[in-house]
Amino acid sequence: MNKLVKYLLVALMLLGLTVSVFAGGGQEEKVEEKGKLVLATLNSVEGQTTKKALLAFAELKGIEVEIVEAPYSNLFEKQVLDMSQGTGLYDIVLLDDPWFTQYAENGWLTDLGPFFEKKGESGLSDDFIPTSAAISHYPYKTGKVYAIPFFGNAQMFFYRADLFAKYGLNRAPKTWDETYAVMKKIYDSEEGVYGYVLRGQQGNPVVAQFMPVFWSFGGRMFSDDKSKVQIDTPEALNALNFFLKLKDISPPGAESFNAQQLATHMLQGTAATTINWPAFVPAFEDPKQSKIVGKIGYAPIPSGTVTGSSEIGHWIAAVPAGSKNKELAFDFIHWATSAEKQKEHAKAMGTPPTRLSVFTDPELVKMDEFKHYPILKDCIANSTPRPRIANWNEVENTFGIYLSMAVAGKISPKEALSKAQAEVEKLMKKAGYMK
Amino acid sequence: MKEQLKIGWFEKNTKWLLLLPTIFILLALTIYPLIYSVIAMLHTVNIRTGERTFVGPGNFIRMAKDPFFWNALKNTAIYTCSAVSVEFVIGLSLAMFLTTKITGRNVFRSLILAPMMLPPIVVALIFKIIYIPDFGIINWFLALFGIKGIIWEASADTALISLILVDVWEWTPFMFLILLAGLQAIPLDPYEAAEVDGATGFQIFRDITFPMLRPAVLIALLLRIMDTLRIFDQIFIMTGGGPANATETMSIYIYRHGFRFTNIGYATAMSFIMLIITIVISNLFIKRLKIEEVF
Repeated sequence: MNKLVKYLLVALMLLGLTVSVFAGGGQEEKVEEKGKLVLATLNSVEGQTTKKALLAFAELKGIEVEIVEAPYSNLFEKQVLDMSQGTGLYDIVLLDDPWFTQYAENGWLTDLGPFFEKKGESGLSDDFIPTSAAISHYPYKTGKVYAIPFFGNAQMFFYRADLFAKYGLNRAPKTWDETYAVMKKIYDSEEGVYGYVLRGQQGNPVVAQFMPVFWSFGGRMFSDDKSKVQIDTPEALNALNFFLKLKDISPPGAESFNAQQLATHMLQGTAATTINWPAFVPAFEDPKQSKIVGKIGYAPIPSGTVTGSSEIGHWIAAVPAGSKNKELAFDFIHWATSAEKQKEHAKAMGTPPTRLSVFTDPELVKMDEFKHYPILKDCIANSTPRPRIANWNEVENTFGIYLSMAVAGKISPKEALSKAQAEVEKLMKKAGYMK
Repeated sequence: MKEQLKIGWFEKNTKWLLLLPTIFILLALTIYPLIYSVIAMLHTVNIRTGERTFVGPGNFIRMAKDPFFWNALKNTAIYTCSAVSVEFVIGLSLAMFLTTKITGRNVFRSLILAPMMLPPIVVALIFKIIYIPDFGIINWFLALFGIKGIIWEASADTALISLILVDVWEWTPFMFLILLAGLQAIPLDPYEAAEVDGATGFQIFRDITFPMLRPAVLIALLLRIMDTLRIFDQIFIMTGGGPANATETMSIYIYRHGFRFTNIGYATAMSFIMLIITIVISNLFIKRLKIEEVF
């Protein structure tokens, strides 16, 4: 009896082990047969929209779907892990456009050209805003199409129209000079209102905040062929000096502000202007959480020495090279980014479209919640993408450290730029862009 | 006879057979990754092609020359030393105080444990609000006494201290808990004898309480040091390593290289250094503990 029990125990344990090892494999095979679509998406309103769209698509086609939602930085890790290992776990990925160059350059994405051809189309429709279409091609603008722009984001300049009128500017501000003059007056004379609110947190936030200022002073981080780093330049120094002037009229603690703190200050009516993403527009216009309903104005980024330009920040959808259901996956993103669907998403979820016809849709433009659409459309059309390099994450982080040092007053603007120049050059050499 | 022998073999080896699954899991979960990481840290990995290039000590040489690495190491050292020592002093005082018989002792004990029950992310988000220079509650109180508000985690000068304070707030209860348990395990007889001999309170603490509390002290310190060495969540949420790199710790820096920049080799090499530091420190403590056990 004792012996039997021992035998059974050992057998049971070995069995348990084998089952647990092979259980994973069994499930995956089932997925392949059924033509299931797996989507890796963000856990935000954009992610919710893609999720709803995919569920509707599944019902239409009678297929099974699975949705993997993850927070921003986690989503990048998941996607990179899957695609670099070629596991083919995901059929559709929703990605932030700065990740795109790395994905496309590494050959992780499917060339969508042949699928467009099958539908009798030559590529992305002309209805997409040209700048939105450009970031979905690799190389930028001129290469093959690897993605379809899903949600159209570009930074906008938010300003308190009522305060600007009170201090003498009765229209949307056009240049940094006139804007700064009013902002300073507001900062000096208006009780409890700061002139600007700066997004200064080290890393991506401070870089995203600096770029539009940098560009409006004629700066460019790299030469067109990426063989030269242009951070330590007079244009950049002008831009950084002005950036620090903006910080001086910002609320204390701006050195650690991220997009949410900017929105909070605007909602509370404690800041007169900011540069931020349009995702906060619905909140600004909602009387339940906003003290500035009807008082806020939207404008493109003011001009410095050259025309102002926002940073583009689109969410685009692509099909990983390892996907086993490429055609079906393409069908979905093609379907979900149609003008009809984009309008539906805008109305139901408030997510910004990427098609001109939706931005100018007569029904939408009449609605209060979309009154910023003409401005947003212009902002996207005049936007600049973050440099199209595969190691952007690392370059951005390094640049962000020195910007943060300058914003914190630890080193002078000149020193920050020359140090950033040296460090970024090292990274560009390592990545093979520079010799 | 033959039958008996067979049973003997099985009897002898049952333990190994039963251990087999555990050994297998250990191999899969610790030994294999360890060997893999040793290989990885001697290479740079191109995740585009999956190609590994052998660089030998290259990653360690890069580390030696990398000012951001040294900065992260320095911040981690400051963070660990200050957070753990402050937590220890406060935790010990609280534990001593709450072993004396005062009214409401149990209520206090439970209340003190509350911060530890919160997830670190939640604590970070709460403190981010508390620290807001304009309308955060701390500066509001300071203003009542006419003290100028501090810019807390947003200033490069005070950022690290602000984060250490968060750690102290959250983890002092842990220190307190272990030390309290230690205090209560001390028998009463030596105290009675000391009282009879007319020892002062300080003498009792120095010669009786502290020596008998040492095992608990060592364990509390060891656990907290290992924990703070790998601090990540609060910093990631509150400052992202800034401003001006003032709060970038090793975990954050390793995370960046490993997951954001996909420099697997370099990140592994840095993790290895962290592992060695952790092992050396814990061994110091564990050895002391063992000596005391013999004693």
